[in-house]
Parts: sequence; C-alpha cells; structure tokens
Amino acid sequence: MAALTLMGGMAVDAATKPTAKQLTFFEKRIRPLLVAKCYECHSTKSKKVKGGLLLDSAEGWRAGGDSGEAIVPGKPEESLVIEAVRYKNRDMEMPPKGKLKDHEIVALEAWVKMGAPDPRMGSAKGIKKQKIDIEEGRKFWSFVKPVKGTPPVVENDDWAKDGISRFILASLEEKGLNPVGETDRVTLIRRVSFDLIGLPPTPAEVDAFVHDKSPNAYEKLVDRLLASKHFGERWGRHWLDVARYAESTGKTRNYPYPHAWKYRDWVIEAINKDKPYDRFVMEQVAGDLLAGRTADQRNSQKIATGMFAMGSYDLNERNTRQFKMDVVDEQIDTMGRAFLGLTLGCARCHNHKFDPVPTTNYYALAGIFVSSEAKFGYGSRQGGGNRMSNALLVSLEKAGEDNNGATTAKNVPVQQSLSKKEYDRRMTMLNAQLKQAQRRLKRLSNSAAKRSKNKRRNKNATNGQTEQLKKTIAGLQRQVRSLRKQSPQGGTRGSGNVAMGLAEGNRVADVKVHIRGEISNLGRLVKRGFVEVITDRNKSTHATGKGSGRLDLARWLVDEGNPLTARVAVNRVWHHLFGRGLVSTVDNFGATGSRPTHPELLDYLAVEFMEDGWSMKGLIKRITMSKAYRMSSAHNTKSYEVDPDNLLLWRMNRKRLEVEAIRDAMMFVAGSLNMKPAVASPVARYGNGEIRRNAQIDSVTTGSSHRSVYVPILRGYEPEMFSIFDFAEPSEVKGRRDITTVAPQALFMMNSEFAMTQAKRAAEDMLTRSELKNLTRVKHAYRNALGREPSKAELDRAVRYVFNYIQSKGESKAAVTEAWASLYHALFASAEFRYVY
Amino acid sequence: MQQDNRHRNDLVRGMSRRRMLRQTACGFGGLALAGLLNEDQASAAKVSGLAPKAPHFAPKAKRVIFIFMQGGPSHVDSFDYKDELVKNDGKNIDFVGVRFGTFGKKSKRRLMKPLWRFKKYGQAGQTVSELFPHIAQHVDDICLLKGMHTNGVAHGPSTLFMHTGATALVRPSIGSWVTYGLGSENKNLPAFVTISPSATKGGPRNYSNAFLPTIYQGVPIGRAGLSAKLAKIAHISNPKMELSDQRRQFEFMQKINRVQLEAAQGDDRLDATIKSYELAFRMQMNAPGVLELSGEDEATKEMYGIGEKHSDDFGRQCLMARRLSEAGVRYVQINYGDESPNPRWDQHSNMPAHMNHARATDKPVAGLLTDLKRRGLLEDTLVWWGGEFGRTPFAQGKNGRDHNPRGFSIFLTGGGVKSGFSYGETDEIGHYAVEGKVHMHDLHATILHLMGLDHEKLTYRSAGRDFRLTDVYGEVVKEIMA
Repeated sequence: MAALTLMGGMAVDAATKPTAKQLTFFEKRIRPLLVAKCYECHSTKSKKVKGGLLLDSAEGWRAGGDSGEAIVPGKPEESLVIEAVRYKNRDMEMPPKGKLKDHEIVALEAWVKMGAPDPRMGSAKGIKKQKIDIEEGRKFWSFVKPVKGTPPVVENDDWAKDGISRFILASLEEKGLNPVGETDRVTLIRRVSFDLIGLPPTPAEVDAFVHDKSPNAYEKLVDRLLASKHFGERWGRHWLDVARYAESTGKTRNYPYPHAWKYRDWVIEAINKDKPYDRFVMEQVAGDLLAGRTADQRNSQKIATGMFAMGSYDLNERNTRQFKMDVVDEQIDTMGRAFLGLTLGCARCHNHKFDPVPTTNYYALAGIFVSSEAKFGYGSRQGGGNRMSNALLVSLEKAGEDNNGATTAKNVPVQQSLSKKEYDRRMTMLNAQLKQAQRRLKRLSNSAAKRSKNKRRNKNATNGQTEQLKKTIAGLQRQVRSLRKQSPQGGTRGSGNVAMGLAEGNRVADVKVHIRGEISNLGRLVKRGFVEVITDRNKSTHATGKGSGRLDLARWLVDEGNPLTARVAVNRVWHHLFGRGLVSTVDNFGATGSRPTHPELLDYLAVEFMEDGWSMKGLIKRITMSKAYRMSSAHNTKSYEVDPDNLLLWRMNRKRLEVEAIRDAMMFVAGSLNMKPAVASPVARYGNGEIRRNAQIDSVTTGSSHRSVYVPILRGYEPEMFSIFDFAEPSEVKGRRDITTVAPQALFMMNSEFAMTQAKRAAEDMLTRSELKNLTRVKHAYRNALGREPSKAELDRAVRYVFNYIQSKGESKAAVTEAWASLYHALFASAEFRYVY
Repeated sequence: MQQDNRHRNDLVRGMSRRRMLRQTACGFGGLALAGLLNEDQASAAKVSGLAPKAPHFAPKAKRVIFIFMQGGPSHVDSFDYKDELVKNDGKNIDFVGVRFGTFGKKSKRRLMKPLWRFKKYGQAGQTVSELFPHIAQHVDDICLLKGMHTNGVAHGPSTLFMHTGATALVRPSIGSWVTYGLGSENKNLPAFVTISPSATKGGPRNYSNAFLPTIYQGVPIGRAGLSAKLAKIAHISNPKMELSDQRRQFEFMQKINRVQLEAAQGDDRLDATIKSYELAFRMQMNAPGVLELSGEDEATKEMYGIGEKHSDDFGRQCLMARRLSEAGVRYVQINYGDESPNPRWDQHSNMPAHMNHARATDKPVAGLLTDLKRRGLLEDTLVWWGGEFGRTPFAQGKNGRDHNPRGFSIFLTGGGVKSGFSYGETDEIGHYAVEGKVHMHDLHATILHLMGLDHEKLTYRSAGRDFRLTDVYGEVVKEIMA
C-alpha cells in the first residue's frame, strides 16, 4: 500500500510539471496514437473496458488495471503498457489486432521515460476497484449459523404430527392452501423403493405391503429399504455425481484411472454403513492424516481422499506450475461446491464478484492444496508417453487379519504381477514356442505352394495341419498377452496395493495471490487458511496445525459453527426425495444461488441432522416417514392457480427417473440384472493406453449386466444411454442433473438394441409361466413394468393389440413372443415407466 | 452485374424451395401418421426448447456450415504465398520454439519453400496453390483470413479451443451456443449436427453442450473412420421391426401416454414426453431421406466428386451438409478427420501427403460452394473452412512441417462476409500473424455476430456465473463484413 501511494505521488509530481516541449510531444505523438489504437477498449467511452484499464486520462492509467500498474513513469522496462506493445509477451500483445509501427513504439517508450507527462484531466470513475466487506457479508442468509426453531402451530393439527410436515403445512396455510391427500399404497411403495434403492418393487412386495394391516407397515418398509445393500448403490451414486466420479482423465489426452473403483466402493460402503456425514467429509479431505486402528481402516481412509485426485486433468499441460495450480483449482472448486455450496473457483482470478470471498481466501485454501499432493497415477507434461505408475499413487498397507470381508480396503488384484525373474522366464519360454510354431507354419505353406504346382494330393491333410498350427499360434499369442498384464514394471493395469488419493507434499508452504489467476503474475503471500466469511468470529481462519493444514481444513468444514456444511447436506437429501431442493440450486448457496423456499425447515433439518450424529439414514427416515413425503402427486386446481410450480409443496412432485434407475428397472423387470456388486471395474483391465473409441471401449461401457452404479464411467465415453438420459457430466460437481425430454431419448427407447433385448427377455420370461393366460399376462406385464394393475380399458386395448399383432404375424410361436415383447417394449418406452408418481 | 446475380439467385431459390416442399411432402405422404401431420408441429419444438428465437440484431446468416480440416493444413502451401520463403528456401534461421522443451528457446530451423506452385485466380488475383484448383475457382466469392492465430500447440487443446473457446475446460461447442441463441429452423431434424466426427482430440467434447441444456448438444451422424455411405443418426431406424408394426406399437404407446396425461391433468413433462416421441417419429421418417443421396442427379454428384476414388467419401459428406442446411439444420459441421494420433492434415514428416488430402476435399468443397450458390443458399449460409492451426514455414525433418498456431489461414464465404476479399497478413515468411490479426476468439465473436448474436450478450449462467463462448475475449472483425 505504501509503495503504491509513493508511486502515485511521484507520478502526480511528474505530471503536474510537464514542460511545454513535453506537452507538445504528448499532443503530437502520444495522444493521437492512444486515441487511434487504445481507446476502443481502454476509455470511459468504451463499450466495455478491457482489463480494468483506462488510458484516456492520467488518473486512469495511474490507477492501473487488473494486472497492476500499467505505466511506471520514467521506467519503460517496468511498464506493462510498453511490454504489451513490444509484443514480447505472447499472453499480452497490444493492440491485439496488430503490432504498432516501430516508430510508434519508440515514441511511447520515450514518453514513459520522460515521466509520462499527461495533461488529460478526465476522471477514472466507472472503474470500480472491488472491495469486500466481510462483516457485511456475514449477514447473508446462508452464512448465518442455522438455528433450530420449534415446528409451528398449525390449524390442521391432525394432518401434521411430525415436525417436517408442520413446517410445510404452516406455509401452505399461510396462503390458504391445503395439502392433497395421502397417496395410495401401490404408488407409495413404488415411490419409496425407487427413492431409496433405485429399483421398482416386485409384484409380491407390492401385494405384501398393500395387505399389511399392521400400524407400522410403512415404517417396516422404510426400514427394510434403508437396510438393503442396494441403498448404498442408489445414494452412493448420488454422491458420485457430486464427487464428479470418473475412471479416466478426460480432457485432451484421456488416460484411464484403473484404481478409481476403490473410491466408488468406499462411497457405497460408507453409505450402507451410515458413516456419520461429518466423518464422511473428513475422510475425503484428510483421511490419510486421520488415525486408524487397523490397516483396513487406514487404507479405507486413504481411499476416501480419492475424491480429490480423480478430477479431469489436462495431461497435455507442459508447464508444471500451471498444471499444479489447475489441479489445485479443481480441488478447491470441488470442495467448495460439494461440501459448502460455494463457487470458490470464482475467486481464483479476482475477488468473488457475488459472494464475500476475496482472492486472498482462495489462495489461503490453495496453500493447503499446494502443500498436498494429488496422486492419480500420472504426471503432467508427459505428452504422448504417459505411463501409469504406482509411484504416482497412494500405497496401501497389507490388509490385516481383522478384515471382515469388505472389498474396499483390501487389495483386490485384477491381475497379480509377477517377480521379474519369473516373468522373464515365462516370457522367454512362450516366445520360443511361438517362434517355433510360426516357423513351422511358414515351412508348411512354402511346401504346400511347391506341391500345388505339381499335384493336388494331400491337400486336405495339409489344410488340417495348417489350421492346427494357426490355432496353436493364436493360443500362444493369447498367453503372451495375458502374461504381459502381469509384468512387474507395470502395475499398469489396476493391480498393486495402491489407490488414488491425497498425500502430504514434499514442501509445505503458503502461496502468493496469483493476479488474474496467472502463474507469472504474483501478488502478496497469504497464510494457509479458510474462507473467512463462514468462520466463527472467535475462531482462527488459519491452518495452525502441522503439515499442509488439510486436517485443519477437514475439521473446519464440519465444525458446528460452519453454517453451510449441514445445510448443504440435508438439502441434497431433500432434493432427491422431493425432486427439488429447499434451495433449488443444490451446489450453490451463494448470492447467485436461489433462496430457500422453507428457510426454517432447512435449519430445523440441518440442526437436527447434527444433533443426530450426522446420520444420513436417520435423516432420510425422518423425511420419508413424514406426512409431506407421503402426499399424493394429484392435481388440485385451486392450489395450482396459486402455486403452479408447487414451491410450497401442496402435493408431491412427480420425479423423472435417472438413467441408472431407468436402465436398472428395465433389466430388473426383464430378469437380466445381476444384483451382485461388481468386483473392481473393467477399466482396471483396459490397459494403460490412451482411451479411444473401439470395440473394447464399447464393451467396457455397455457390456455390464450389473447395476448402473458399477458401469464404468470414462470421461468423454459415457455409455450412450447415460448421455442420452441426462447423466451428470463427470467433470464437475453436479448435485442436480438436468431433466430434458428430447427426441434422441425417444429414438433410443423405440429403436435401440438394449430396449428391444430387455423387452424380449421380459416377454420370454413371462411366456415360460404356464399359469398365465392372455388376460393375466397383460396384468402381469403391467404389474411388472409399472407396478400397478391395468384399468379395464387398458386391459382391453392391450389384449386387442397383442391379439392383432399375433394374428398379423401368422400365429407362430415366434409371433407370440414378438407380440408380447412389443407390449413390454411399449410399456418400457411409456412416460409412466420413466416417472415416479 | 450484381443485380443480375441476385435476380438469378432469387429464381433458383424459389425453384429449389418448391422442389424441397414437394420432396418433403412426398416423404411425409407415404409414411407418416396422419394424426401427426395435423398437429401443431411448432409446439413440439417449443416444448423441447428449440423454438426459433429472435437474434440480438438483424442477422446476415441464418445457418452455418463448418468444414473442419483436422490436423492443420499448411497455409504457406495453400493460400498464403510468400515470396521471401521461396527466395530463402534452405536457409537456416533462428526460431523461437513453442513446444515443451523448446519453449522460448531459439534454434536454427531450415526454411522450406512451398511444395506446390501458386497461381493467381479471379478478379482480385488471389494466389492459391495447385493443391486446391477447384476451390481456387471460387476466390471471388470467398473471404480469406490470413492473419489467424489461436491457442494451444498440440492438436487436442487447439481443436477444443477452435470448437469451444477453451483448451482444457469443459465448455459448450460453438454449434451449441448458436442453437442455444437461435433455436431450430426446422421441426423434423436436430438443430446442430456433425458429420463423421473424430473420437479423438477432444472427441465428443467438440460437439458437446457442456453446461447448456442437453437439447443443444450436437447430434453426430456417423463417425470418423466409418464410410460416409453408412453415416446415420443413432437409432434413427429400427433394425428388427417392420415399419407397419412399429407404427402400430407407436400408436398403442402414445395411447398409454395420453391416458397418463389426462390423469395427470396437463403435466408439462408428460406432454413433453409425448411430443418427443412425435418428433422422434418424424425424424425417423425424414432424416434418412435427407441423408439419402440417391435422389440427387448425376451432374450434382459429379460436381461433389462423388464416384471418384479420392473424393467420394468427403463428397458425400458435403452433399449431406447441403441437404441438411437446406432442410433447416442451423449448424452443420463436416469433418475431414480420423481417429489416429496424427490427424489427416498433420504432415510432420511428409508434406507431399498434403496432396492426398487436397484431392479428397478440394472438389467436394468447391462442389458444395457451387451448389449452395446456385440454390441461393449461399446468401444466408455462412461457410467456414479451416483447421485448428497452420503449419510452420520451416521444415521438420526432411520434408515435414510442424504445427503453427501463431499464424495461419482460413476462409469464410456466404452470409454477410465480403467476397473476393483477403484480410490479414503473416510476416514475410508466413510464421507469425502480424497484420489484421484474428484470434480464434475473434473469429467466434464474428461468426456469432453474423448470426445476429452479440458474443458478449450470449451468456448462460452456470455454477454461479455467466459464461460466454469467448470468455472475456473476442473482437468482432468488422473489416470483413460485406
């Protein structure tokens, strides 16, 4: 600050006493040049001022631009304007459309050297230097600590017994609205099944629930679903959207992450075991720094930090410093949006434009991540020669005796690698056999060629030998390929007791502010620390502990004084259960995000969540048990007129199923879904080459018969069905998916091999059940696919449809299958199948 | 003279529109569901978010055809003739490296003169090498930009940059931005298609909607490495069911949907699902017809080089592009690319191979320009020809050239740009753009401008901030506007 004033003082001094000669020089040589070449973007009259710099008044350039001081009077070598016009810095060439003439550059240099005499008096207003008032910022709704209020008193006391529903009802009553009635049991079980485990109920489960007369029938259902191992597969996938989980680097060079699946399994297991959410957060940020009693626990915690090592990184970046800062930016952005609902990445280049987050806060966090190391298996600047290396991954300990059979922490070797000696021995042997066989084949074909010139005898015998030899060779080649996968140098194929994750860096250090985010433009040093505006006034905003400060960061995130973490978490759950969050922008609780529709309810849920030990299952149970959740999705004209978007929740929202649920449900109904968790990932067997579209990729991404959460996600090669049905872009935090309805979805449902296959399997399965006749078959299909009985009209229409279809096809057995497959196909493709009511 | 042209164009355009209507009507009459035709087709587009939208100001062009020359064609061997380069052929000169390891370092490199002779063409006397004898016949119609420069040095980043304005971040493609800004001009086809795109060098990201809604995603037709004869939209037809069965099934399913819609009392999303099926069915009926080239007369096919060994494949792509544009597809990209680490125009070690690529593309591109012009489509279609960067004036190895993002040429023609015009210069040997420099951001800004969109106003809010195609950069190049 002192330096700036001093400089300013000097400049004013120089400018107040320009000589007549200097003024003439300015008027003749400089002013016309500035007007002609610079004013378009750097004057108060510019349509848009670029780089925050004004050159149409002395005050303008003295104030400087976004990159700092523009002109240092007397010092052309230190003046950015001179550097820019010289076209020596390829990132800053001015004017952008073409270099000035040499004599023009010389004139500018001379002018700066003489002290930049400038008589222009205009003011530089219009360019506001942004300043952030933290104390003022603390008043924003989401930065105020949540307080648990008492559920309000409502008129319809009978309707709302639970706290959640009372908050909902109170705001409805305020508008003179009534909630719609409770939904029927058939609809309710389909809703809660899809919501909690992502699968439809079987007809038997529907019947059991409908006929269960016990008062706690619904609670038993909810408890059963919460205890199901499929619960973690459903809710784990929700978190993987937030963690932008993927199994390759993406970007311009797309290399596989063969160990990413260990993080996926960690998430699923954590959710199934109801790991308290605060612990869930801490392990992902600093699991490697947390104590663990057993090797398994320590390994599991290390795997958790994979969240911050599986971003989409640009391996083409040749500048290591730039690469590091890009990785760190991705980590800060992910952490901010995932846990806090803050778009911290915005503060990389300038103070956050909307939220009270100064650049200094960003670089306080950056220091923590710069002092850590993201170990994802590759280094930067390796161009085409990238090689997966276990040295660039986190080492795990040998699994202990106490292992309880969970796959997560264990090393699940896809291919065990061999010792070098053993590998070499086997390879030499195989190669020798291969060469020998190839030589024999050559001799055989040579002699066959000679013979065929003379006579055609023994042709068949030779052919037989040739075929046999070719088979042998193919077999040997296969063996060589499979042996290569066990290469000792490799560890290249998802083998080895390693995982993706974070580690402490070799060097722990604070970093300087990067002006405009540029690595070559450094400002002042910032102590490692946190976001000030959401830090309790009585607590330190700095990382005070040992090492990088990541452990401090993890503790700070789940500190009870942190106003955001619990709110963001409960809102995510609400979003999935009601189809829209209380704050609809689930990843953005800042000024540009939306405001909560029910702020008191959000706080109530958040505080109760913390009081309940951050239990996700507890939270989900409270919400699904509420009267509000059990409302029907029926229409009501009066309520619709007042609140057409159902913001006040006078009814349940109809929810579009995510692609995972659509795919899983089709396969489940068809009986082709493998319900067991997948072991590891096919990506672990893909090899370490750059990913390209080929048959192997197709089989990796579409060949799975497991639940969708286990289908490999390679960036840029998401399975076709996933891309068509709004799968979350796996390169960014995405707590709320798009819901689009587009023609390619319809084409997929109408014409894809997948849809036809599932329909056919469902039909074939049905036709094996001899107890079913035409009418009951239609009922069976409806119950199976849509979870309900068809109406009389539907029944008649469907029977007619199938009957006509069979008749037109000549009533063969194949025609019968085809007809019923066609019915299933239509049911799968229907809007009803895709929605939860 | 010009008056005459316009008059003739109007005539031709009138004719082709009538012909088109007839074709479309035939396409429908035989196949489509009677009920579908009578429905308000615009409502389907509206529900899907692709209804036509008003531009920010009067547009010069209504649609774009981008002819992507993947790999970086050499400007010094094609459109940017440099006397000094010929004179100094073989001389070793210090160059500053751009690649990793050589970045900022000077090293001696051997200047290599163009491998092809140049000739003057057209009234403006624009020089074009014998690589492109057919395109050369159009120089009086095209606007050459010879002072291009861009970001990135490798194919991946530069290709992504050219499509999305970012080398490494996930950003929407320019085609997505254009359809987001303007909506669709047709009811039966997607608004943004890319023919035979490559899966590498950014792959699908190059036509991805990124954070824009999915409806603005480019729809690929075929893929690089697959013959253009087989190129089609995914799942556009059913491999197993007969059309009559499918129609019956379609009607049955829509009945299920309508019952639901009634029960749900006007739920927009259910309505949208029903509409999406109708659009899909219309696409299924129409798109294969639009992509089917058999109805074109022989003279037209010959003009595109279809039937000739070298140019058949790309000729088909170009003809498909014309048919799609004519049918109202807003943004059509044609890709001359492949799936290899060294894309087609990427001649690091064997510049003479440029000739193969010129043979494959020259006649088809020229045919496309002729065809667009005679149909009156060129007036409001903006055609952009170019690669992700150019090549160095100095040799790499014996007779190759390295990437050059610092200076290269592209051309525009049609909607709103000056014809027979050349803008910008590289230095005396063709290395750096020095005069009339146009950065890729500037080109993006200019293309949007020609479409009636202000690149600073065409924004989309994502993750708490407003994004644009041109980030915080981009200047509209007014100098090239007609």
